[in-house]
Amino acid sequence: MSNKHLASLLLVGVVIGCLQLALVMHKKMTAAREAQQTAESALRTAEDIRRYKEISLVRQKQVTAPLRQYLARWLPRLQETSEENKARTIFARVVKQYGEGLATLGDRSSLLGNPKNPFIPQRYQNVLSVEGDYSQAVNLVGQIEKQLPASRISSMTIAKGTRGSDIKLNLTVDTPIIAKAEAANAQAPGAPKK
Amino acid sequence: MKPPVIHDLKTERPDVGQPLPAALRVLPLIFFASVLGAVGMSAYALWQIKIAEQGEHDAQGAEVAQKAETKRLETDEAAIEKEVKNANEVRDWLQGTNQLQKLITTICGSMAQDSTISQLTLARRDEMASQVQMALTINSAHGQQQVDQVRTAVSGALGYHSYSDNISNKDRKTEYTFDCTWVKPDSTEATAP
Repeated sequence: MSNKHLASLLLVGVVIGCLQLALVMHKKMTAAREAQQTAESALRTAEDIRRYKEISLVRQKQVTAPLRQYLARWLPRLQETSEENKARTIFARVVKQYGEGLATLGDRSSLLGNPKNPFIPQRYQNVLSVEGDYSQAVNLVGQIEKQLPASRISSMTIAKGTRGSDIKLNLTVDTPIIAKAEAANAQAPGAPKK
Repeated sequence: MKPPVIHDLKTERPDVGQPLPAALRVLPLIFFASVLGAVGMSAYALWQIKIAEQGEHDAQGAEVAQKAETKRLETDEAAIEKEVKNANEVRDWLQGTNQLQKLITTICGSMAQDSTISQLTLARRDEMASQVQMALTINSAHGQQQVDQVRTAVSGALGYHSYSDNISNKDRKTEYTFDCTWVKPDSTEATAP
């Protein structure tokens, strides 16, 4: 093989090398562009999902606003009796304050479960039996309902008392005890998040 | 003699064969142009690769940010759902807290002069606390008339709907039992403190 042939082969090699370099770089460029397009497509999808969630959240806030405001109005009342001791103290205070002149025949209390309602898993039940003037007894019922608006009078019996206008009043009052975690976490709408 | 534009690779020696046609003198030009073109194209591709990689990196970063924002929105949504669930449970409880004092005073107030109440019992139903079961024992010469007055007073002024009425008379004693439900316009508004 002459020098001319070697030189020609060298040139052919250089040309093929240049072509190969150009092809490899082109392939890499195409792959990089495809990867960019994939990433941009994923970004657009993520943006669409975020936008949908935003709209959905705004709509959800609007739709549920009355119910959440309702909860926010009641929450302070429910937190007043969020523990057994608090419920006992408040009930005793109301009976003492508004039950003056009424003879207490019985007063017992117990903590009962309320399994149907996870937010109010327990209720503090007072069974009170008093005797006295009709108007005072009815006033006591009214004050219990007013001072403990979240409490529920589960049952009540009024019967004739031992004296003229006296009545015997048996009351069963259930005071809601909200879940401790809920009591701690519950926030009014619009309040800053922890 | 004109100096050659591009030197040939061969050394100076006397030509032994016919020179190539003049048109083929462009071959070295094409060769150098090809090499330069290949290098230029590669450099352009490299530049484009860098741009694409930067674009991909930016898009991935933005996607992560979008996903984090979506996650935050989902957390807010879950918090609202929880709040709504709590509100519904509070409402369920409070639907059974309608005041009974007015019911007592209304029933007592509806009694005629010659009628007295022997016993009045009000009890909420366990499964639906807004419903109140009532048992009333009246001492009266006009038991039926008195029961009608009680029924009118309870359903008229207080907005209770009564049903399952049961009346039994024995001497001057009338026993009247019925269930009643408080009909509220909007439970989320009517009982707010």
